Amino acid sequence: MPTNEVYITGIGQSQIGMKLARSPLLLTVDAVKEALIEAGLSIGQIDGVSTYPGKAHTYLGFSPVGADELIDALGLRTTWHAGAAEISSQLGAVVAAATAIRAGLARHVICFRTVYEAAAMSRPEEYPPLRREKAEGLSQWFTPFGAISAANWTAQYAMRHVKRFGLTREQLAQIALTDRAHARSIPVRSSVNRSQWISTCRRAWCPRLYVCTTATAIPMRRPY
Amino acid sequence: MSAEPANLRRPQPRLDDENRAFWTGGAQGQLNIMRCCDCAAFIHPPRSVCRTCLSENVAPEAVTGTGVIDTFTVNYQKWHPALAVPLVVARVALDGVPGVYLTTNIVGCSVDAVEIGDRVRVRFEQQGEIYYPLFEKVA
Repeated sequence: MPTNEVYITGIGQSQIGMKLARSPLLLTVDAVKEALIEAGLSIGQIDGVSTYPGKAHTYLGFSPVGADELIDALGLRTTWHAGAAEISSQLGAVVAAATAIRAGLARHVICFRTVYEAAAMSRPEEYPPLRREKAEGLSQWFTPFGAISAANWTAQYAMRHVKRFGLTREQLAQIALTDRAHARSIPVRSSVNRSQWISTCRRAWCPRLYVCTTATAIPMRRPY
Repeated sequence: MSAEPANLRRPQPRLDDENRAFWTGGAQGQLNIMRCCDCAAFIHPPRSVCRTCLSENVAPEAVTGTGVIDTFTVNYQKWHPALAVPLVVARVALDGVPGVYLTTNIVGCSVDAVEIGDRVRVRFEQQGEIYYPLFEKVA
């Protein structure tokens, strides 16, 4: 067996919804607990935490929980942790964890991502929206023109595909509906239904930003 | 300075030695793209070093300001208080500037009139010291 293998040993997901009242930290704890049960691990065995993008203090809806906070809340005794924005999003956190495990920096790493954007929108005093008065760094080449979300960016690629290959709007919608159909086979307590999803699809083409609130966690480990 | 409240302006870049020529070139009606004076490669986003030959002998150069719509999308969701919808977000390939695509808005026509391949030219929108390069269709 190759010695550089790393295993995903479970998965846990919190409640999913548009206007959840439960705090983002507790949603994260829910996801971690579920993941640990599936992996057959106790909390004391976790010695690493990896997340993307880390706590976003100026935009809490996007990332309301950081690695430090989870470590503190669960009383973890970690030998390695990371919460970084300049990685390949959620999967970047998985890659970071795998790399750390291979390097021997930790044995059992919890990877998590918590988003609170939908709940944040309904409670702006608690979770203020991002102020976009300045366009910093790389974002200056996109945000001044309204290309603010990944939905705007990928929509441009999708439109080129549409024009070049004749993809129809109905075919594109089918991708989302198929995703939803698969999602329904997973026993989570989603408060989002089909009619809500369709209602977001009315206007335009292309990737719809499906704003949600949830936490997901996966434990990863190296071979025993 | 223009009179708009800060939240009714487009997001404003913070000017520095690398990006100043791009964001303020509109004052002279110029679309400035950084270029390497040694290997002639264009460098955008602008940097103080050439990503092709690593020369630091780089300088902004005024380009024609015309180009072609490479792709676009229409925003119906209002993402920013300063940006009225529907709004065409487009990627424009600049004439004579190989490899450089600007994300911008197509203005001056109905959103239904925009197609990939349309020829466009720059039209600056000033807010404060920033001149945003927007594009309009060439008749």
